[in-house]
Amino acid sequence: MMPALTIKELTGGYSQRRPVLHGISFAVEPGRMTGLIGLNGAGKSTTIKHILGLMLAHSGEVRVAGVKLEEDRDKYRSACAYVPEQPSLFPNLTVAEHLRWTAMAYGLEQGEAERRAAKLAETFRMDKAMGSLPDTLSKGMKQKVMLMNALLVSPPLLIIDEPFLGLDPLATRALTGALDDARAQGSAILLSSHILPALERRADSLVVLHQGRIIASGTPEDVKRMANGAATLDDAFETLVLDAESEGGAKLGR
Amino acid sequence: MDAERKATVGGGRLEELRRLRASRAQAFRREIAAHSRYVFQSGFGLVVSALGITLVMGYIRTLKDMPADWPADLVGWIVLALLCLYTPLRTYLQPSDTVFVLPLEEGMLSGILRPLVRRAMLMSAVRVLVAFGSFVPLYQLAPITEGAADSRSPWALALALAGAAVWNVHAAWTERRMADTAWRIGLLLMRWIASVAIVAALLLKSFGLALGFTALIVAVWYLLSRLVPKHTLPWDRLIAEEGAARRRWNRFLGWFVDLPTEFARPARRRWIAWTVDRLAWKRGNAWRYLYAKTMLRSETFGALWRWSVLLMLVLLFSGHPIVDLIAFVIAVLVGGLQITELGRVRFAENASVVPLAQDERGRSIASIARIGGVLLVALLWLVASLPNWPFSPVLWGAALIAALFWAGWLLPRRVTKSFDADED
Repeated sequence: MMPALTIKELTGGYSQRRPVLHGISFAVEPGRMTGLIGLNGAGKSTTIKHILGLMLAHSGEVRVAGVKLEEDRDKYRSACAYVPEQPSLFPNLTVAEHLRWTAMAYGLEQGEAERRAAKLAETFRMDKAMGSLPDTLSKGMKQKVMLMNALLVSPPLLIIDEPFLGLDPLATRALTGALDDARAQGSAILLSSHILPALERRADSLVVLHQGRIIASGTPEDVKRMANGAATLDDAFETLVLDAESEGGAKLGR
Repeated sequence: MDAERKATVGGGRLEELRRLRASRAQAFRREIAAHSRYVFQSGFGLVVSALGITLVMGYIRTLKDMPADWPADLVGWIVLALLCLYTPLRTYLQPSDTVFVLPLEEGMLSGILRPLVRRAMLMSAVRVLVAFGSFVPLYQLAPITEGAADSRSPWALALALAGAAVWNVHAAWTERRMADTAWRIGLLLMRWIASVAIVAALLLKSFGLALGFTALIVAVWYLLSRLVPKHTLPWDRLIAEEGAARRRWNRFLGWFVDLPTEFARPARRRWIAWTVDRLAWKRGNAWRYLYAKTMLRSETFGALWRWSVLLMLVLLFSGHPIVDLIAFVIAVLVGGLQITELGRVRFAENASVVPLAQDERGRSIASIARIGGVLLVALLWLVASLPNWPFSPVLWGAALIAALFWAGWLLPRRVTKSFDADED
């Protein structure tokens, strides 16, 4: 089966002279969750922006559902849904209207969209807030709205940046349940998070970024083995990052 | 020593707060001044000057040759009531002040805000006195009001009107401090209605009774206001008002020069927002849906419909064909300019990652502008032309065609141009 997301030798960033990403390559298979982890400034958000086509690669390629953005813009965009780290809602649309707009944009049929929206509202306990405008919602509720919008369309690729921030415990449970459902339906999930224990339990594979390069990848167990058999993913991450930094220092003759 | 030190430290902080406010006020005035030249370059200054000259000439002519039916009662009532109700308060507070300035709340209140309110009361009284001073000759000469003018001392009347203005400012400050929204809106509406009634009574009814009525209303208002819990300093409300004032200035200047539109708190407007849900559920309507909802819930639309209603009232009651035509033209032009703000609406990047053709945005905005503009023209023309059409069908027919050309063709092009220019 073709991967939902394929990144090959991707180099890119804000300027040609100082790229942020240096030839990274990885893939995300349908029905699987890949965790993207790294320190602040490692290149996680830049990677996501390249996948979304918000930044242009200097070299390499990104394919979603087998196509590049410039080959078939509509198919590419229809194949992915994105949840940013900072909730970013349209200030003049209610929660229900956000879902309606997303459903219209992705070409979802009205009856099916309304059925899915009702189910998501119940799952995320947002039934009473469906008629609310964003300025009356808390940060966590805004995050829920962003998640509901992405899950509504169940695309081949879900890209979620720091989904657990700002969510209450029940919402976190609702989210993990919804992500499991999405996986079961064949969606691939690329999830960037600093909450490593959550990824350790749920991710099928991990990509560890450091200074724009992949320093480890594989299942959580593979990554822990690479880090001298670390007991937890937190320990493994620390070991890998420190090793990468000391290797980098040694190369510079420090 | 401790008290002395505290006083010195407190005094120093108060001075800092005053300097902070003064620097923000100065920065704002500099910003407005920088853009003002575009306002004058556009010819707006010329129009305002022409209007001013026309008003002055009309005033002198009316004084020299007062028509028997000149509505001095209406004119005085409306102008003085509006001036009494005008209670601005520029605090220059910003959202970050709830973090950095909040600890200095007591100093803020006693050293900055209370003096500001006192100054606002004084300015309001001065405005009303200047307006009344200009109006008094007309009030005394006009046959409709000369009886009332003779029955009271103009000085006593001036003092009473100034008192009404001062009360409005103080009451508006008290309303700002109220914690309960329903009470605040209720008392605000009561004050507005009362002020309009007070001005009418002072100008036109028995002066003694009017004074008694005024005192009673004011006493009742203050008694009711004591029932409402109040903030010591209503930070959120003052910050929101300051933001709204800035946006109003930006919107006005934005008609003449390209300024970024800041997002204001949307209004639900259930009474009209539902119409957008009637759009057919299809991908091709997604941008129209988004922009139409955005437009209808925006501050711009709020200004548009209030402005249009005001001009429609002028059209309904003026009884003068030239005034009707001028009001119609102004309403169509100003309404159209407000609609063009749709071209400056920007959304965050999540609107760019959906599977919708981005070049459809411009076309959708143009179609919303066209529909909105044509509906506005139709409504205004109906109200303006109904009493006038039988007398000047050619003129009003031409006005309709010109207005439809503006709203149906020029306006959408202008909106799209503004949108495309920003996109570039």
